[in-house]
Amino acid sequence: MDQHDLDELLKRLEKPARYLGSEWNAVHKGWDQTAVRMAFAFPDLYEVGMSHLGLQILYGLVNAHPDCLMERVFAPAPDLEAELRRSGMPLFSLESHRPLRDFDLLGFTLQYELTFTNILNMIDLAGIPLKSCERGDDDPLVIAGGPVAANPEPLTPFIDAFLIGDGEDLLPEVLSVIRQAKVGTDTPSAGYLARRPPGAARWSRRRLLEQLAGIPGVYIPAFYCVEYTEDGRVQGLTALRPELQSRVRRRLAPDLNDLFFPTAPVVPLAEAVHERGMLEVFRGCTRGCRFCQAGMIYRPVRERDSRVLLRQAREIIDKTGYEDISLVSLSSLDYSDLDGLLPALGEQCTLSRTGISLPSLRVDSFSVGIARKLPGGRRTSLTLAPEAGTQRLRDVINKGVTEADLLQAVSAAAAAGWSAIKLYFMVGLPTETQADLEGIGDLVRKAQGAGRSARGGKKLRFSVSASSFVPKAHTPFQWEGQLPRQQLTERHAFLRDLVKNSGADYHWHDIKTSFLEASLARGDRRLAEVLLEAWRRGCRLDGWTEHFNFDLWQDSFRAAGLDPQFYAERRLSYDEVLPWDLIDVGIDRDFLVREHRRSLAGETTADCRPGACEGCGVCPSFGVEPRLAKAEVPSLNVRIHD
Amino acid sequence: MVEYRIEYSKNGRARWLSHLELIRTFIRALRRSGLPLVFSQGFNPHPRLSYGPSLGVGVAGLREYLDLDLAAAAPLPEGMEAVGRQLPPGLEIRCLLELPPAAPGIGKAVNCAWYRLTLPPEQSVDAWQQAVERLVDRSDPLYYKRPKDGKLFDVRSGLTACRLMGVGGRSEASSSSAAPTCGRGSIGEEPAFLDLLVDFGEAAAPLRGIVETLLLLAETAGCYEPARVTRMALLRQNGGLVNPLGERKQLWET
Repeated sequence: MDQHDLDELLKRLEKPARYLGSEWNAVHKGWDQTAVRMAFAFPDLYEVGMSHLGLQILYGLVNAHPDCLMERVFAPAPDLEAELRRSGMPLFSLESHRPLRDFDLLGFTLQYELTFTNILNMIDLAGIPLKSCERGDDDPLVIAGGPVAANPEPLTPFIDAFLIGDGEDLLPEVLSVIRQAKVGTDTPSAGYLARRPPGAARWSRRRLLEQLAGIPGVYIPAFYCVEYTEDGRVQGLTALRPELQSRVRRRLAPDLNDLFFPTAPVVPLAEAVHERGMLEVFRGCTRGCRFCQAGMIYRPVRERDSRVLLRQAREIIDKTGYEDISLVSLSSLDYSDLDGLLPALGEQCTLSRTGISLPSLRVDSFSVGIARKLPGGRRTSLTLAPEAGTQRLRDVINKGVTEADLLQAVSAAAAAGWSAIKLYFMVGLPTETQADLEGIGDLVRKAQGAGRSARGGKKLRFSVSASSFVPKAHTPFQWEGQLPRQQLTERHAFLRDLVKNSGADYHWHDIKTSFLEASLARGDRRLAEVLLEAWRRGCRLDGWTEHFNFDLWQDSFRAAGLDPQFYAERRLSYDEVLPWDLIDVGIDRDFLVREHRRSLAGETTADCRPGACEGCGVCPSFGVEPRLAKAEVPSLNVRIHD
Repeated sequence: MVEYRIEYSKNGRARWLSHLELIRTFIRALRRSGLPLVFSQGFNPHPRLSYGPSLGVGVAGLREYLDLDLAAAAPLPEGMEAVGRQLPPGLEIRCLLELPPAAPGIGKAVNCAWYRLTLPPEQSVDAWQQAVERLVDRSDPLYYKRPKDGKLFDVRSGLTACRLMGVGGRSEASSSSAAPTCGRGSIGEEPAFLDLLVDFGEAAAPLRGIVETLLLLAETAGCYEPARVTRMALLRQNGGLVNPLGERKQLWET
């Protein structure tokens, strides 16, 4: 697209800054000087995608390679989609504003089930056949990865290859095969067109997929067959080629210190949801909350060395100018070398007038005390997530937080000057009873009391946010069903009255959205038909309340002859084949069963960080060990369960 | 503490930034530049900056301004270079000036703006000429109703001068203290354009209102397109015209 066409398009859009591609640190590489050209496709709006660390990691990683190029594309907002459909112009990349069709491959990141229709929409707007089996040798390869690829089944007909696990080593291996497919060699050199050996033909799509299937961590769904029982359960999963493993093992990067990390991330022009430098302190979490998928599929914990983190922080600050830097991980204050990191980082940030933020705060006074001392740490509101209202239920979900932890954290926050506290809970957890909901009310009242006395009688503002439990693949709760919508609605209503009576605000996550999320999260291949129907009916940006249309989704399930409740609410049995059994994240199935049983018995399982191995199976199966920045864990960090 | 004024242009892709997006872009560029910024007090310190009047999304600006405080004097060419290196495409530093103590801030240093509207090639310059004459010759007020709040503006209030430059046109100028001046000139083969000198202030009509009214008077189909507008200069009108760098300017002098 030339400048004139681009201006003609931009003038019709509400937020043209989303599509400029001229951000600070955006990479504009020579198209003709690179052999492999990939578009990173984020299936949500610019403002969401630009807050995502994975995009920045892969963007920096691929563009650091002299022979490869990566550009970005985000889900178009409704105004851009309307323009593209009206004018017949294909969806384009941001950097060079080229049609996506011109790229060798298009890679989607899967962060949330409710972005699935955006993926179909983007493939269609790019002018690429929607289904993998309809694509020819000249169509780009369509790949996908990210946490939701832990159960990619509903998307299988639309995606040529899934990349399972850490992408830092895996994606370059895929790109290398693509280079080979295009030019007949995997040795990089300049001017790729000139060096295709005479007579060496571009590979067929089939041959390319066969080669890709040989890379550990690559899942080619077309090479596997799924059979179903008469009542709709999965009967069997079969590899269609003898050389294939029956399951695809996730890729794991054992040492984060060796990995590429983007210290010059693209700084958004249009305002993003989170605008801050991201410092990935560690990957993986060992607390073992039984509802948490991330806590299972990123094991084991792998911490970065504090010296590496300090160097990266300095570079990020210098190269972005961000006002804040965020310590990113599943529970950053579990980092074993806070002593080596925080004082020095605090000094760096004070000098450069940069704030430090913690995306999620562990529920205890120690964490609050630390957050208080960070530069820019005293924000208006502090968020804590006890998740459940009684000790019994917190033990069921293995959330190692006690009432005393919460009350001490609130007192510490109030004493430190915070005036507003947000509490997160989950409704509809397995075994939840009326007493657990009442427990949330009690806990909120006690927290209000603790806050008031710590502030000398002054009241704190409390707000309670509640989501609905969504069972996820590869977790101990994967066999549990979601509570029927009617019951969820009643429980949220009950809780709302309870919480409002004690003078706190109550916010709940839309129940229909959580229901749809649950039906897709444990879905199988047949759901692809539902996605197709929903997309055809106009479902887009389903994660946004203003765009979500549940009626259209219900119509789509009906049209496909499938029942969303079957997927969302059904309790699965231990002996049935699960649609995501093809994906091996490295956790022993027996561990998940054991965890599920312990959960129902109200037994907790210890964090493996201090050295107590609970036998999840990840370490032996990958031949790795948890990596802590500091072998000796400070005593404050050791959590002892009853 | 030393006060500085930056003169910059917002053009190319950067013309599509909103005022808020532009501010954030500048703040981060200044933070990266290493200049000794002065920060406000409080829990959320931010650099002490003040901006000239905002530009709409799509409107380019050739001479825009930004005042900033620095903790120590910065050598000028190096300071300019340091910020310039950090700006994304479309934003360029034209000049960095140390302000004398107690100099009026950018908000007070300007009270009018010179806008240039490039006319679409398919529209008749004669029709525009006619519209401009009708507007200038009118004795009673001509109202524009702002859609967002229904506020009425007399389109002529605040419009101090205008001129139309078209292919092979004749030159004509009228001038009085009460009415806007209006001229027409020839510019060879360049696209025709309309220059407008517009006052800021409560009663002054927004540019969109002026352009849309002219389109009505010209009996021409079309709408206000921000991307056809360039703010050529920000000025202070007080007897003569002075720009924020303290330079005296003639009308329509760049």
